[in-house]
Amino acid sequence: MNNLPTELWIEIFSYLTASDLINFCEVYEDLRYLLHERSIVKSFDISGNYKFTFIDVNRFLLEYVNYDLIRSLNINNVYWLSLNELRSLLKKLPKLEALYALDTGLSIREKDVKLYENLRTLALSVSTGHCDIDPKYIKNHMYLLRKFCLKVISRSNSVASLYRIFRELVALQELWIEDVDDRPSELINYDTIIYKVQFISKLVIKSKVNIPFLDYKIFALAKVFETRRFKSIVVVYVKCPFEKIIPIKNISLFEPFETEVEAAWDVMRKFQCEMPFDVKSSQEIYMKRDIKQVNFRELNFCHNKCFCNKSFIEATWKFLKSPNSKYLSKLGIKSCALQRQHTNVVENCRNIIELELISCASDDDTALEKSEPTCNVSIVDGYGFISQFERLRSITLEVPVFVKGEFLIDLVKNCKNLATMKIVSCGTNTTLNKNICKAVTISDSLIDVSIDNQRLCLRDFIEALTENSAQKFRRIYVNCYSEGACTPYVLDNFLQKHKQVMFLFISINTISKKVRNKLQDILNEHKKDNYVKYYLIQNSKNYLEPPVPHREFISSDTNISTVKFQDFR
Amino acid sequence: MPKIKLQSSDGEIFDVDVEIAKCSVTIKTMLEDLGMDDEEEEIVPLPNVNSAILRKVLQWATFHKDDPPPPEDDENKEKRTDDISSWDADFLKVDQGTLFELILAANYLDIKGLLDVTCKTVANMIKGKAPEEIRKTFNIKNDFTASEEDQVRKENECLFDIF
Repeated sequence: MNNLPTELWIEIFSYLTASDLINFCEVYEDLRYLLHERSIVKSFDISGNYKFTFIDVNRFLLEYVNYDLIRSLNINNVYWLSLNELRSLLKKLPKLEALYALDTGLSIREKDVKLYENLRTLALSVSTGHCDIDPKYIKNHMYLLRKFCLKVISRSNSVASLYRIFRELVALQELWIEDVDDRPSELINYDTIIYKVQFISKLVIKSKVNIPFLDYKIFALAKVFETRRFKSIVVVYVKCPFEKIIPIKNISLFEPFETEVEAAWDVMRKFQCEMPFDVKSSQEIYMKRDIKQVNFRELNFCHNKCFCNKSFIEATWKFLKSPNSKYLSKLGIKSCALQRQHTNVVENCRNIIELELISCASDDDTALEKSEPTCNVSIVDGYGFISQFERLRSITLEVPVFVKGEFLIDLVKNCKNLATMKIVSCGTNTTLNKNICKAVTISDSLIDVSIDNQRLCLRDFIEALTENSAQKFRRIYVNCYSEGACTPYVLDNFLQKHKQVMFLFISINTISKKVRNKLQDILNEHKKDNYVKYYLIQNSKNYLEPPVPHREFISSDTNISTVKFQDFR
Repeated sequence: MPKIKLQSSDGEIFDVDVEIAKCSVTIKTMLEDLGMDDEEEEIVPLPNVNSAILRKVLQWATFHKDDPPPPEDDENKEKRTDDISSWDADFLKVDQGTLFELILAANYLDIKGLLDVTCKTVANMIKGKAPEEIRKTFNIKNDFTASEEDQVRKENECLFDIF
């Protein structure tokens, strides 16, 4: 490897994040000069990197990279830095053009806005209460801004303050708004915002509350993507020539069908249901009016119960067997589809790294929540096939009550990279619970584990986690009915051995105040040494939401064929 | 289909479809510049690529001959490394020496698709790993002789003493 010329190292480096580069150059010091001299570290990304909870970011940057070179800083989710630390960091980066700071302390206060002077791209989380500033600050300091991503955490105060901000941002080209406040009071009026920034060429809206079907043809914005799965609504508009803006779902695009995929598309169109594609594929299909050349990366077939029928399921498998799905990396599917043969699919879609398998019996609205997944007996054996997707990194399962869960053992054995496992089940099925416990014990790769199962014996589960020898767990979420003989000693043992756990959130239906306090005491003892750690046990009746950066982990929303605001660039 | 003869650095001659050989921009320009006739049985020498590597490159090019041209790099887009097709992943299950030689060959022959996928593979060997793991991953069958290695180990021990 030593005879690789510099330009090829630069090519390889272009795929790596700053922290990867720094780690690499720690080993190969001869290449370290590249960090300083060339503008490789243009973008510095420490989002969600827990390593930095122990490191002073300011000093770290000073030591390793040239401040002047950093054009882009990604601190999404780095919630442990104080506002003062964040501000002093930003002051040191004169060339910064893009700042991604979702779910940090930064907002739109006067002091923050002054730091956004040179930014062309900005991502922030705000509550409307913090947006009430004199618009002249926006005008004077944010006039260069072209791409803006705004996550609204709470609409507690008047949303009118938001409109005043957008009045000063007339030059915006791209706008993303995510509304994660699910209270129905005083909704955001997107029309008002669009009228103020009408030169934008891309608009993305994601909302936990219902939004009206918006239509922005007069601004030449065409809707290229829409989904109303689970609890959130996502709509994406892009600027396009006027003649292309047509209500696409009403016409058959591809008749006569030359490929199976075209026929399958038409089946879904006729149902007027959610299209399974992600934004990119969706845009390609509607702009080019051609589906043959599209390589699907994500497909989500989680449909409303009323579409559960033979032709829908057949269309699902046609998509998955088509050459277009060769590069598929994320798949969402309902259990009803397992009634069909799936050997070819595993063969065709070998690149799947993320899978969501939702029980079909539950309705879309309640899915993954209080549902009582029942099941058609013929699909019980179908679950075994998931362990054949050897590259899986993340899996979300809603397990029906009949399923014993032996397949979980195969899953953690076969999928060597499986890092995230979320299981929802209501089963009184003790075999399933035993298998869940066994799976978390023997896994070498699991990092994040979330179990929502009323009948789970908490003690058995925590002991199973304790026995795991890989010591990689970072986030654990449990929702169950009772504390199930879980003593402070059991928790103490677990955290003693697994000090790397950053987030431990246990929600119990029937826990008494006394028991809760006892258990919480021991958790407090363990998080003392590191203020980034979040350990909480609580009665689910007095449910308190964890801090914003962790909510995504415990939420029941889908990750597939949707828009993740963390990916805004 | 018209053929062309490619000669590797160690003298082996490969009979290749012109269309497949043109995967390589270097060969393509060479043919255009020389205005080579399809009839002519000219031999193109490739002094920087040995036969083992050239065979691999041609195997890759044959499989990907019908691929659409790779998209232009977008400066602003983050480059992803998780989109290696399973065929490519299997194809690149080779020792590190071969992998680096493939990168060099792809660069010399100017085959963007192959260069991208090989660089991604190396990047994946680095991504998300601690320095210790990186050292382990790239622990190329030590170039050091036994005595040199002892020397290095001693030096390292001294280093650790400081901490």
